[in-house]
Order: sequence, then structure tokens, then C-alpha cells
Amino acid sequence: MNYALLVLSPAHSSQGARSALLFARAAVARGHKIERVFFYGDAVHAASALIVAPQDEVDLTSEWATLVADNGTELLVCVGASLRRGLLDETEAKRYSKSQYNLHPAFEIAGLGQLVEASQTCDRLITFS
Amino acid sequence: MPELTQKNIVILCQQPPYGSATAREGIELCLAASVYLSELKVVFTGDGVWQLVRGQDTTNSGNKQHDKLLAAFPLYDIDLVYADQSALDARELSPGNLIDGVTAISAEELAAILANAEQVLSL
Amino acid sequence: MTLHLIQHADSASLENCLRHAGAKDAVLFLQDGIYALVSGKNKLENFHGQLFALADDLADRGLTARCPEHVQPIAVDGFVELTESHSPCVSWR
Repeated sequence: MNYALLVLSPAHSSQGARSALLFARAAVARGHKIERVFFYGDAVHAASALIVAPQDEVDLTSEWATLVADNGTELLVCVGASLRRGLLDETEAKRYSKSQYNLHPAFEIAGLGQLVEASQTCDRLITFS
Repeated sequence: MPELTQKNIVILCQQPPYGSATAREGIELCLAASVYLSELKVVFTGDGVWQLVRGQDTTNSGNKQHDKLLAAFPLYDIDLVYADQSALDARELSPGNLIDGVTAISAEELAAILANAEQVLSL
Repeated sequence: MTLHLIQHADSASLENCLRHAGAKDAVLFLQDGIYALVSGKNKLENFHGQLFALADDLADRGLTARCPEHVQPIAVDGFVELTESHSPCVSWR
């Protein structure tokens, strides 16, 4: 089956984001395809390239990136939610005349339409809050 | 996106407005979804029904007024807007306390809406 | 057949879920939903559907032994399996 995940849980201060990752891995192991993971609200911080995980803690951002590399999953962060929270890619940084950008290359900035589209094209949509 | 094979989508709004961005981001999702879908059901339950209270006034606070976002629903052709009657009762909210355009539904009706949905986006 | 997810400790979200879940549905407790399960187990008496809890999330919290008898502990693989057999999936909060 094709899955879409909607992740709302704050990336580094709640368990939900990690639950979503573990679910994604287990789904892939069962032969499913995780088409798209859409990060919305405080979950967008998962896509920051500037997160420094303590040595004895899991680096969530690189673990998500591994999922992309191995399975072609799309990791999308909502543009509106990201801009409000200071998460920009190069294009958005230029557009808003910001001197820096911090989006991890495994993630893409996208509109809410991409989430709606995933709800239509995927067999299952699971929300992690 | 082709609408021929449109899946039955429900957006379930469960968070109150103002204290966090979740309620507002939920409504932004509703507005975005309406652009792509010819039919969309929006259901308010739990503390989400606080979003529907009439008489919100942010003149002094400078906050974005939540019910003004909801007032845009008819412009986006979002007509199927429901409030969970049991959540309204638990909070002593009567129809007169709510903004226009909301239909109160029983627990059984809400259960049926969820059971008939193909995807539920919950915020 | 809906799969209901309880991911938060708040007892109101469990009550709201049970009010709208049917006898053919399944409820899965995970993350802090484990606390809602253990402290609200008497609320489950009138629910006739299937009940599951993520075993790792029970173990993390030291509550494996307090998982009610009629609630089946499952691994994350079992969570995926539940999403295969049930649709839609509703997250309560």
C-alpha cells in the first residue's frame, strides 16, 4: 500500500516525530511505500540542518534523510508553517531577503496542496500529533 | 488534480484557538483543501468547538481574530461544517453562542461521518 | 473499521474517542496515550472493539505490568498491520 504521514508533533520535544519515523521504517519493512511525509505546525523543525543532537541521542533529521535515500520518500515541510518558524531554503531566503537558510537537503518546502494531494493519492494517511 | 476519483476527506479540528497555532493552521488546511476538493467535511470536536464561539474580539490584543478565518468558509465553498453536540454540551455552548453556518451533530452522526471517511486529517 | 489512535495522556481525548468508536473499530494507545490507558482503564468497560497498546511505549514508562488484560501489547510492526486492515485512521488529541 501507499502511505502518507502527517506529522504535527514538535520535532525535538515530543515523541510523536520519532513514532512517525519508527512507523515509516516498519511499514517499509512490511513492503509498503511511504510516498510522502508532510510536516506541519511545530513538526517542521525536524527539517532544520542546524540541529545538533547530543551524542547519546538520536539525530532525527539524519534518520529521516536515510529514509529518503533508501526508499524515495518525499519529506515535505509546509511553507507557511516553516516561514513563521524561521525554517528557510535558499529560494525562500532570497525571496524574503534573509542572509541565511537552514533547510536540510533531504527536505523540501511545499504548499498544503501537496498534503491534500497525498490524502487523495495514498491508500492510507496517518496523523502523528 | 482529477476530481473524478475524489476520496471522502474529513478534517477533524480538536484544538482551541489562541493558545497555540494548531487551530489556525487547521483552518488554513481547510481553506487549502477546499481549493483541491469539490467536497470537504470539517468537524469540530473536543476543545476544538471553542473555535466556533461567537463574539471573539481581538481589538485590544492585536491577535489575528480566529472566527474571521472561519467566516471565509462560504467563500471557499466549505458548506459541510459540523460541531459535535456532546462537546458543545460539555462546555455549555448552545447554538446561540456559535458563529453562523455550523450544524450540530450527535455522537452517532459524528461516528458515521468518521466511519464513511476514507482519510481523516486530525489537528 | 476505523483505527483510533490515542497519543496523548489527556483523559478527555480518550473519552472523546470512545464516544465515537464502534464495536468493529480498533483503538491503539501509544506515546503518552499509554498514561491515558492505565489511568483510564475503567472507561474502557463499555467499549466492545479491539484494544491495543504499543509494547515499547508501555515498557519505556514502566507500565507493561499494568496493561489491562483485554488490551493487547503489539510491536510497531503490529501497528502497521492494524493500518492495513483498518481505515480510516483517526488521531485524537
